[in-house]
Amino acid sequence: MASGIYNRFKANLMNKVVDLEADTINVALYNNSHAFTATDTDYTTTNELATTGGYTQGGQALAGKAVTEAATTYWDATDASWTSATFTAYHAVIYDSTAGDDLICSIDFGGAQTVTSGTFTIQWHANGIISLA
Amino acid sequence: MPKPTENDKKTKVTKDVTKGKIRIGNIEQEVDIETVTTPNNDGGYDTVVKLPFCPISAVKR
Repeated sequence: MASGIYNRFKANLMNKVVDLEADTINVALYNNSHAFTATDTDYTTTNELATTGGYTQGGQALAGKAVTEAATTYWDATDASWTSATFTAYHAVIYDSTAGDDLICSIDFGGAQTVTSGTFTIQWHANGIISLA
Repeated sequence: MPKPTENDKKTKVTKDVTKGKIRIGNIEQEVDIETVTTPNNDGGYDTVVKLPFCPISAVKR
C-alpha cells in the first residue's frame, strides 16, 4: 500500500477547478481493504469506516486550510480529530466536497491505527499535507 | 522493538513507528509514520498519528 496524489487532483489544479483554501475539503477514514489507485476520481463509501464508534461516513471538513507560497509551496490545515472514538483505521482519504467529491490524495497509515474510548488525531506533517516543489 | 499491546496503550504513553510508502509517479519512497497513544480518564486511550506529507513532485527530504 502507498500514499499518493490522485490524477484527478493534478488535473483539477491545472483546470482551476479546486481551491484548497476556499473549498470544503474533507478527510475520511478507510479500512484495510482500501488501496490507493491514482486513476480513481471520486470519493466513495466503499471500504470507508462505518458510521459508528465516533466516526461518521463522509469524514469531516478540514479547518484552517492555508497555502504557503515559497520555493516549495505547501498546503496545510488544522489537525483532524475524532472524539469519543473507538475504531481502527488504515488510511485517510482527502477529497474536495465543493468540486463534486473529487479525490485529492490517499494517505497510508502504515498499518492499523486504533483508538479506544478516546480521541483519534491525524497530525499533519510540519511541511504541510501536500507540497509542490 | 515490540509493538505496544492494547493494555500497554491503556496504561502508559506508547510510541510506535511503522513504515509507510508515498508514491510519486511510478516511484515509491518509504516514510516513517509515528503513532503516540496516551491513556485517558475513560479507561481507553487517545491516539495521535503523525503523518508525512504527500509531495506532488519529488522533494528532497
